[in-house]
Amino acid sequence: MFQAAVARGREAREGGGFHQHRLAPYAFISPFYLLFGFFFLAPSLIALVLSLFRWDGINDPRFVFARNYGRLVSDKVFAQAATNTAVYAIASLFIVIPLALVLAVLLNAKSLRFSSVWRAMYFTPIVTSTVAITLVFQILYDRDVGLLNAPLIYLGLEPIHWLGDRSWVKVAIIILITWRSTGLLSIYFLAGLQSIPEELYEAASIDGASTLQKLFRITIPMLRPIILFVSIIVLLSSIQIFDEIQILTNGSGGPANASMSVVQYLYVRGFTRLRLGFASAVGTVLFATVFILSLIQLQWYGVFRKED
Amino acid sequence: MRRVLTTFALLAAITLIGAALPATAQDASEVTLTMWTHDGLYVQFFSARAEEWKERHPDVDFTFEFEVVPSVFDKVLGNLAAGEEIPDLLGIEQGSFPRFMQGGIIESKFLDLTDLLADDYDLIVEGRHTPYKYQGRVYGVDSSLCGVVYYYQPSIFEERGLSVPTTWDEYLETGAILAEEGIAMSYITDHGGMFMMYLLQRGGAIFDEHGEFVLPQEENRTIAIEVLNLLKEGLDSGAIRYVPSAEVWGPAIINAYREENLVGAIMPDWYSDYILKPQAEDMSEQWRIARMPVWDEGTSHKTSVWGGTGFAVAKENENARYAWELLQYTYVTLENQIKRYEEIAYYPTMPAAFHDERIVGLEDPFYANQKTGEVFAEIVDDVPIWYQSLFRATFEQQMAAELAVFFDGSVTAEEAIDNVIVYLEDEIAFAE
Amino acid sequence: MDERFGQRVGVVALHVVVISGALLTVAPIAFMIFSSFNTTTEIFTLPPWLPPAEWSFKNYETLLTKWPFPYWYINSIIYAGVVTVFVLFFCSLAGFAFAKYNFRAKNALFIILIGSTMIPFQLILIPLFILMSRIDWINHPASMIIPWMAPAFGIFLMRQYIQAVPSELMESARIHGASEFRIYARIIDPMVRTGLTTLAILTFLGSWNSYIWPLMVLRGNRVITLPVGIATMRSQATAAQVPYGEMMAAASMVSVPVILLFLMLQRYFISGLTIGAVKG
Repeated sequence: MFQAAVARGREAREGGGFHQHRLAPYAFISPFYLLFGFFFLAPSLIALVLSLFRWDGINDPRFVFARNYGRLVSDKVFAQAATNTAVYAIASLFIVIPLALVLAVLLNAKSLRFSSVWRAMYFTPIVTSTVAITLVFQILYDRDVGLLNAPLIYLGLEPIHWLGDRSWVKVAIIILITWRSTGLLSIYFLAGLQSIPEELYEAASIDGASTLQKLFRITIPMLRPIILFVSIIVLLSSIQIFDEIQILTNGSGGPANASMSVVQYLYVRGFTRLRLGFASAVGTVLFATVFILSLIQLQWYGVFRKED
Repeated sequence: MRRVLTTFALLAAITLIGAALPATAQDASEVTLTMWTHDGLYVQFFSARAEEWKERHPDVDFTFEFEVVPSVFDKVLGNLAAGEEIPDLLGIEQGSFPRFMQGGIIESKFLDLTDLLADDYDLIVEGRHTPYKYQGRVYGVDSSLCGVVYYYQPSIFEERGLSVPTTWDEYLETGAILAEEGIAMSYITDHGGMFMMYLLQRGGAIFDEHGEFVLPQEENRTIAIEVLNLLKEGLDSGAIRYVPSAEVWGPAIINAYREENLVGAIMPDWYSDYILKPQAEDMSEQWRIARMPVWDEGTSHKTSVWGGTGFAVAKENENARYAWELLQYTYVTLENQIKRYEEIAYYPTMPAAFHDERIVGLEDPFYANQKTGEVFAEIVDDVPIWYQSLFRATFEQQMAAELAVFFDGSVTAEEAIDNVIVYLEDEIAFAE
Repeated sequence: MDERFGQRVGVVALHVVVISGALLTVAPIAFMIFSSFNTTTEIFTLPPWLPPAEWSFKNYETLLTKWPFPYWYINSIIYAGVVTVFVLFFCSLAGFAFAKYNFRAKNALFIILIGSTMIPFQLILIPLFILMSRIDWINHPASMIIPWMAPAFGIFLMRQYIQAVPSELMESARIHGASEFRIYARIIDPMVRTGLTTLAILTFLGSWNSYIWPLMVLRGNRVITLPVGIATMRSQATAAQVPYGEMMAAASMVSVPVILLFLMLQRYFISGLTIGAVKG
């Protein structure tokens, strides 16, 4: 790659500055590719190869061809983990993103006073450590003494078994995701909102459009590129969710595997049961899924269009 | 000259033992012994014993690096995979022992203690050897008896003229009475290990001594179903409460005790000092210990087991000999087993210790000066024996999943057990 | 008249919604900080979201006397700080290349870049660890820094910011004979200070909070970082029982400095994120 650039530089009619111009980008991006190639790509390729083997990490690997993938497909627990992960991803895309958008609209309102204070407050969740804050949530979700059930208990209603019920546990995790990421995402939207020309809204007001109509006719269409950008980040992080569930459920992914994510499944199979080949197969499938979904999104987003 | 003699004596000892110990370093005057564990109390206890033990080797300058390491088994197995060093002594929590059975790691990397234990083997109850056995050989020395008893608040019974139940039938009867007031006798959770605890008491088995999956055998399957139905009966009447595994060690339980809508818990010995006392300091003197209820037909044990940590010695480390010697001194002597109870409250694994006044005579103020050791003295010789298997973790995880759906009534006991059997057989077939 | 009344109701409603949401958002953090001044028993007996009746510093005392907490702190600051400096340099440099140059295989290289963010870390943990062992980087500071110096996310982010810088500035510098690196250092870098601040905070946070990697490669009580230290504390009291009060004190000591740092840099940070998001 480098050599080609050098050669092309030599052929060029222009002077030294042009040489540099041709070479420079490769030099500038090379640290990433060197580090990535050595520390991440090589291990990933090893993992890819390992997915065709049975390996406990210590003894010699044994070639089993597609057996790991076969088991993966037939394992109902994997199907469950994949479904759960899809739920987290969909909830993140369709709950967290709209919520962040609404929040941004509210925070952007001209009549809001001390807006920088509120923005800062909405932003604090991302600066807390995952381990610590998840433990806090474990207490908040407690059926009998948790904050979330306090209103229900006060009203004499049956408290919710946040971490004990197969449906509610997913809700509990989605709440945690929402809490952590809404603030951050709303900042991206705030930026976009500020770039929408005021005249559009004024014209709509003259035509008698309601606030909701303005939201759907002006705000959302204008924010489309940002919505797509945010959805890539959200998709990536929600599909790889692990720490929160691991700590919140004491590592069980329970009850009845109802909260287990794919990465947690990978972790349990790979490490707890020491089947590194099988875990590699899980990782490979996960990577392929995320990669394809993201490429589709990126294509949509127009990232591959030539720069002007 | 002295060094030569010592080395000679050591070599002779090694030959006599006949174990494949690695050669000791020629220059053994400075020795660093390392230990990793997940539990700081072991560090405390081993550190204290190491200071005494090193007097036996006045010619050696010992340094002890005993550490609590989080996710310690991930780290050790990672190190083994990379060929990095592992500590001389490793506390293997029994639930994680099967990870070391994979590919015979335990055999290739850790010292076979069977012959080293020699006559001491029989001093320890068999049920505390088997969790650390691989192909019939022992690789770990356990830290605690882990016998199961019933922790309860006597006032709840006394106020209603009820007595502490001794059989499961009585337990359910008493529980049904209390349930009318919204009080539960104890609680269960969707944890595979906890289910094993009840199953073992009833005399059931999941794996045999060869690690074969024996739950599908009719007698074991029947017992498993019977145990599930017992728990379900308790759940349905309100005698037993269901707590999800995410909350089982947390504040909800302790709060329920305080509000007296939960009498107590059927739990192993470690429950007392590691859960109950620290979280319910304010409830001192309100507690007692009794034997857990038994099944009527004679096949039941007086107690059960759950938990434990066996210390293993890294075979390829140059100080394996010292590590074993320290482990032997710390864990395999009667005197220090008693000290272990006195200092860090883990019950001895040697029945002989339960004749000592320091165990059975000790009055625990938290239990209103009850001599709690007496309760354990009655059960120590009846701790059930159970066996490890490569598929233990798979079993526990799948059982946990089925327990959750069984407890909420979505499947019957037969379906739950058969689902686990089918899943395990698939996994075993996959692993060949 | 009616309309103005309606507007006023709207403004009040807006404030109610925004403020209650903000309070809900900080509640768990407040709970964490309050709990750190309580004993474990109090955490579970009192309504845990209220300030403690009596502020006790016992948890902090235990933390500082029982554990080598200052070491963890310093280690975390050093690693996070050093990584952040390298990340800022390499990511802005590469982001510059992707934003302002056309070169062969650019799209393919960019797809590789994006793809690299999708490798689940758990997948490569063991191979990477074995690699570290082969090059003798276990318990070596290099393993905590060098592999993490040029993350793809940072490059992507910097690309977004640098695209917003007018290309004409570059061209005129080039005509005046400036080297490409000089253009980066003298023109681009100063123009994307906000972007660099954003990246700095995100990188610092990522490194500050990372757990599994330092756990694997670092060895020894005084060498580990804060999150590993907290996990050590957590497992210290057996797998089951958590010394909540101390945990919360530790968590507060981990989070509060970062929250303060964030508040100080907030102005740059928020406007920085803004630019990155707007431009495709």
